[in-house]
Amino acid sequence: MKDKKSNAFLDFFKNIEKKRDDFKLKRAEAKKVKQQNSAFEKEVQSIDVYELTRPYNDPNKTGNIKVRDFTPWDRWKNLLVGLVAVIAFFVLWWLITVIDPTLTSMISSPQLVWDSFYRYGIESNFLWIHLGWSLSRILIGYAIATVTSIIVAFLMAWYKPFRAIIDPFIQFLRCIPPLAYITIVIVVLGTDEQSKYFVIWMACFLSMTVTIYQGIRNVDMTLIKASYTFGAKDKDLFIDVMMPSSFPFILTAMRLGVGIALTTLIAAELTGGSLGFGAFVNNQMGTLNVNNALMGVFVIGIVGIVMDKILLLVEKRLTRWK
Amino acid sequence: MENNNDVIIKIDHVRKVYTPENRPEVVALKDVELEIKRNEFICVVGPSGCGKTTLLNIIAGLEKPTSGKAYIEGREIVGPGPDRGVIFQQYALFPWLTVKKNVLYGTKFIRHLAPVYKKNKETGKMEQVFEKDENGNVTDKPLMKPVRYSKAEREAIARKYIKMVRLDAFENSYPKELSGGMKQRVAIARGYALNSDVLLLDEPFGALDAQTRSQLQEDLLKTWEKERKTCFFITHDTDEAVLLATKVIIMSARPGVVKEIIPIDLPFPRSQATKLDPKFIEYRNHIWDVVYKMYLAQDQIK
Repeated sequence: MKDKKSNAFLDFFKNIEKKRDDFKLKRAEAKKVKQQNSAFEKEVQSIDVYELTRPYNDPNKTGNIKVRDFTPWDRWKNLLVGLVAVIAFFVLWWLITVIDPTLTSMISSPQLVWDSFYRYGIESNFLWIHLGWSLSRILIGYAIATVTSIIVAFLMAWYKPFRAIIDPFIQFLRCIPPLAYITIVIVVLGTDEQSKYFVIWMACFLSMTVTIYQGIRNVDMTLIKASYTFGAKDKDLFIDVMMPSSFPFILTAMRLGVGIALTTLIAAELTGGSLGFGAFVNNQMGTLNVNNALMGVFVIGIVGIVMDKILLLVEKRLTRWK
Repeated sequence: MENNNDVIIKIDHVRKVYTPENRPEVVALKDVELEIKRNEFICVVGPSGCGKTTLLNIIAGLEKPTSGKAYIEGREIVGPGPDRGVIFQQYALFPWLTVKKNVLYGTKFIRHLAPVYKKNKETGKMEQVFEKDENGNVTDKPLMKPVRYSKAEREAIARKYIKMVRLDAFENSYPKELSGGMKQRVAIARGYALNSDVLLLDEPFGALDAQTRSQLQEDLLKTWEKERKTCFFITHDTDEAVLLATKVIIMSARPGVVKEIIPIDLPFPRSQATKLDPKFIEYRNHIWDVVYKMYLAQDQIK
């Protein structure tokens, strides 16, 4: 009994000693860490940040890029470079067909495409008749699309419920290629002109609506506030502020629309009939007549460039204030 | 003039609270009471976020108070209107209109009282119409009706105010061709062309350089001395406030309350030379001191 008691007593003291030693050890460690820290602090303080962050300047030059004035020559130079690139493309094409004439059955040649153009466009007026048909379809579909997309975009911006109803449909239809719904169009509208107008209208309308709507949403709020403080009513706001400020976006949408109308031409003229440039290209592709098909592709492309340039000119004219 | 009529704008216990999504609500104005007398030039100073612009928007009718009401000439303000011209810090000029057309646009919707004329069926001549009393008898009081200004009248108004801000040479320029100071001068001309009794200016010279600013201050002073209006001018610049104002209002931030109203007793006409007046310096120092202390207090809260 007594022994056990004394043991416990000794244990108690031993414990205390151990704890004391531990504590001493810890204190020594802490001191060491503190010393190390203070040494680090001293080192940090000794660093001359000003010297360290001093930027290095290349003694031989000032500035990363060369700045120079834009001269009229630059514009001509760019045009010239573009022209040279186009010519180089035709020369390369021609060279390939000269080196290996068998390739002409696949990629045709500048000479053969020109021959095709000569036969259809100069010897006869076949090309122009078909182009006329196509252009009339494009212009009618596109014109209707322009008017309807402006109206729908403004309605979407003005009436929230209208937007809520129509937005899902537009977003859904926008992602579907026109070729996918041609069958339905033929079944519903037949193979006459209206189905071609419809396909072109549909494609243009969807993209143009989204663009114009975004433009209207971008109207500067301070302009709206200002015109309210002048006593403008909603009707005046619409005519005097919303229309002019979204006008550049309408023009952008119109340029976008021209491209879309031309790209959907072939799909539109798949709805039947042999009249029209898209139908012509389709037929030639179907009979593997590469020369005629490529000639058609070039004509469509050139028509696109011309129409875009006209719209660009109109845009520059009408938005001089920008 | 009657004492009651003297008060043109009355702010009656206006409180404005913004409740942004997912964030605690902000009390922009807490129980603001203010009376603005006719033809006073009020300058409002205070640290950022003290609700100066909110107060201006409430007077302009562009914002609705959460509680309380604002009145102009005894009528409750429910929306914006041409009886209160507003000049914004961002100019708010229509970029597709020329200088002249911008000023013209300001006068498009305002109306004035004009005598009514009616064609006499028998003689075919235009005759003036007179008011009728309760019994249906024609009195000698001409019948007046609010009408819009004619194109020629509007042109004349626009020309006058464009000349006032010395921009006659730039009448047909588009805003993009003008410098910042010129744009703001167009905005001032447009605001003045409204010919409203009240003009609200939201830091109009805030974005301009010091020289242009002092020039425009003098311009504004001269115009105001010529055609007195009730002006409510927001600024950060204490010098500007003392130079222009007949009364400076100091607001404090979070929540926005009117802290001090200081009548500025400096004689008109004033110019940049007024800044050398010892009284001016006294006012300026006092206001600067109060506003600066508020900034310090704000920093300590953070």
